[in-house]
Amino acid sequence: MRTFWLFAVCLPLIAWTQATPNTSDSYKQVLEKIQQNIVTVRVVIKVDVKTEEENESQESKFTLQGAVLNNDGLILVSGVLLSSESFKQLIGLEDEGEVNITIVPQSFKVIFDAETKEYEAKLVATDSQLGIAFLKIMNLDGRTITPIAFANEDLTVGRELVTVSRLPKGFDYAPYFATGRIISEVSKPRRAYLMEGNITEMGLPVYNMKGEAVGVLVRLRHGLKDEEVDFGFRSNFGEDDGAAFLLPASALRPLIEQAQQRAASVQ
Amino acid sequence: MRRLFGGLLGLVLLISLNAQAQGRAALEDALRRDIERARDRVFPALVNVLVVDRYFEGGRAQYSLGGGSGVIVSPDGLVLTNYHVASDAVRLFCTLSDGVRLEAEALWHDAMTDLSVLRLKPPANAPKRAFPYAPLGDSDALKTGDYVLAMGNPLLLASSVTLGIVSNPKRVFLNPFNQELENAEFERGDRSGALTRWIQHDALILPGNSGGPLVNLKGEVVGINQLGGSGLGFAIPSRIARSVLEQVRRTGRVERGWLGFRAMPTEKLRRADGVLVGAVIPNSPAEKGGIQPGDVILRIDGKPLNARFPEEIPLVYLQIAELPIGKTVSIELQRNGAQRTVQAQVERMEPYYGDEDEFRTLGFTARDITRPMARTSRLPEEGVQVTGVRPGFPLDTAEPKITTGDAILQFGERKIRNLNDLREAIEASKEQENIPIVFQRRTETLVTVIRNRPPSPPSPSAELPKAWLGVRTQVITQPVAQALGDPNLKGFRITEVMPYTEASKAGLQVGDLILALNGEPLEAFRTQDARDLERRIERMDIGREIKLTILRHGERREISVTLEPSPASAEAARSVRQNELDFAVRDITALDRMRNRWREDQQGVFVTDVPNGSWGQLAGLRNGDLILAVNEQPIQTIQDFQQVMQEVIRQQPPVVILFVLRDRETSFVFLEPDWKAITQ
Repeated sequence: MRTFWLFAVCLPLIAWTQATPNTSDSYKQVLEKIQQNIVTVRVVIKVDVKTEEENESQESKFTLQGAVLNNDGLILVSGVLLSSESFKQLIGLEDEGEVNITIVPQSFKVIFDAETKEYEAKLVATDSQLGIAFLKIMNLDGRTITPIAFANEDLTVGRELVTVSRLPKGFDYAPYFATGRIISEVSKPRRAYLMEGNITEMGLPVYNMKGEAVGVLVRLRHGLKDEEVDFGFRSNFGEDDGAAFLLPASALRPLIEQAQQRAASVQ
Repeated sequence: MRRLFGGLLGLVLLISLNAQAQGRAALEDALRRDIERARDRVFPALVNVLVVDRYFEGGRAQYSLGGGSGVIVSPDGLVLTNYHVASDAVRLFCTLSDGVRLEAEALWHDAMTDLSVLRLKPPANAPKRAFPYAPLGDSDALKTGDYVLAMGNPLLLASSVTLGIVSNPKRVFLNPFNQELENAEFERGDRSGALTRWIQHDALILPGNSGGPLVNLKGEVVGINQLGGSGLGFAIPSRIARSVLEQVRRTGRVERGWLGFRAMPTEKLRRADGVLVGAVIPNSPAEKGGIQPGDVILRIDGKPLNARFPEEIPLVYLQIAELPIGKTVSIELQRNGAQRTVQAQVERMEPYYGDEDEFRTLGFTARDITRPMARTSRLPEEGVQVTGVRPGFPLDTAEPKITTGDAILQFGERKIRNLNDLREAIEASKEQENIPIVFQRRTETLVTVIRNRPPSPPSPSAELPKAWLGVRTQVITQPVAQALGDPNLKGFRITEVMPYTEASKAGLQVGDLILALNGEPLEAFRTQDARDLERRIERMDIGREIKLTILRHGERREISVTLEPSPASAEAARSVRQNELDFAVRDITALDRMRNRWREDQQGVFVTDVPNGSWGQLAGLRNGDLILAVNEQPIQTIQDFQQVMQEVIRQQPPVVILFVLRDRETSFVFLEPDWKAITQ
């Protein structure tokens, strides 16, 4: 009888441990799956500042993380610093005034993993409203690459998601993941999901725990001028008029298709 | 009696006061006459100096416009101005007092004294003329309190004069703590002032006065204005200017003797004679001659050398500077109380900074390393110092990368001693893909390999077009709906219809209320709904015809409109650069016509880039001008522009006249290029 009761108590426990996945293993698997799709891109841009009577220009370099979208080398990156319109929105200089700022991308070099070889890429498309851009690697030299997989999923508030990025060169471009949660769903100015947590890198896809991309992180602004400052919003998100939102994959797909068409004609 | 005496006293007082007033008036009259006379004597010789500067920053050559003042000091057109006004110039122009603008050439730039000597270059076919000039006066005769006039072009206001007095005719700049002389350093770090005791005065000096004359009441140039602000002005004495001018006239250059020791005053040694040796520069004539720190030098070639106070140090260096180069001089000195005589061979004083140049294909700039640089900056004595590297170019992408401050010692197989060696080495390696470079960084010698690849062309704008309706709208909020007479109204009110768009062709008007799209009611009624219409349209295909249900003057109607692509940004428009005259233009876009409210058939080419220092900028051409005609040839598109300009380049007229539209008004821009320089 005692044996029976011992078994009866232990059975649910045994069942529970079998059903609950090991969380650290899940993250490890997601990281291993996704990190091969994440590349480092070295960028050089020229910023021209022109008034009616004078020109000044300065060259700048920085790195971005990108996600491989297809086997032909189409890469998704943050476009905030790659188009004049996005840049002007970022610094709050949207109206055509006396100063005209133009961003001229000069070069893109794509690095896979921690390799030393760099692949030259060209800018093929930008969307300055969403602050994303698409590059095309010009010559893969026969290299096989693995694009990210997209999922059609209904996203809900509370859902935990993951993004993967790479550390800087000094850390050998080691991949790392970050987690975040959907804390709100908005329908204005467009349908998107507000994220909380450590998911902060714009232009990178956000994944479910199967390693499928459910959307991309973009900066959205509410677009209403002269709105009074909301101190709560500012203290939570650091800005007056925008924050990082997850744009669902369904909204991204038409842009990817357009970019692919453009990329096909680039030589 | 008392009354009479009082009256007499009053009369005397009145006469005395009157005499004083008359005396003051006479003095003021005399001063005014002196000022007018001095002005009349020097004004005709005053020039406005305009320069196109070439400087190196960020690994490349860049250009800017600058200016200052100058004064003609000889009838054959020699002009004195500041080194910091003219030394970076690739083009120099002087506008004379009669308004004529002439080109000028630089004969010599002297960083040590911040003086440049220019020569006016009248056009080849112009009749020979004697230029009005101002005589140089005696700056040594100036005393504190003397009136002086500062003439020049402050804030580029031509031909201005301000009045002041000499505050200190022998000003030096001392460190307030250790009382040592401080050099004036300019933007590029050129060191200046070891030889100079400035004329400090209080005539107002502003930016633009640099290089202009400081004039006494006799109408003689006693100084060249150099620095100023907050009621203080500093001018280089004419004594120094005369010395520079005479050397340039005689030999075409300025050379100074150098012994290589640092002079310090002897006051703290409780002596009034000699000059204390504070330091001896290695490998200098002083070191070779056996001079040591602590020695007190008494005479050079029999001539006393004295500096009891810091203010006298520049005179010591001046005396040494005037020693003939190559001459072995006899130096009498005291060491530990004992007198001795040593010999030293005078060497040429070297400028601190070496020449600098751009290496465009590899994206970096570098300068020659001089011995003074090597001594003070732990640089090798042979090699070139990198002064800037463009991001993304070979020196930046190499591992390890070469950065600003590194000294290149070897390029490929060739040892590098100077810029010429580097130019030759780069030319010799241009077919090589991988080039090893040996370079020094502080105390380490490193090796890297650069990949000799041409830079990729810049990416043009790549914005994805979206389906677009050429109107701007506001949401019909509840208060607005009520005001319009129907509180149940929802949707958008048109606030602007962009001209020349499908929306305008379809007949949409300001005030129309858009209630439905393709039969589907628009539910917008709050300001946060403002982007709903735009979002819905964006998701549609470009070229699709949509039906808008609108309410106009109480009447509902349906209007069909074809969706067009969102207007292309200016950067996406086709652009060309006119290389000879160095400016860029593009075709007009629909967005330009909309923004500027031009007619739909408005033609012309948009000026997009007028680089600093270009012929266009010198003529006043601006970014944003719309060129309508060139030399009376109408310009409608870029093709017209290219064809007309081809003909202009072939004919090379003295003036190229652009008829432009600027801020809704037309204007003419007159380019006067130097065709010889352009086609060389």
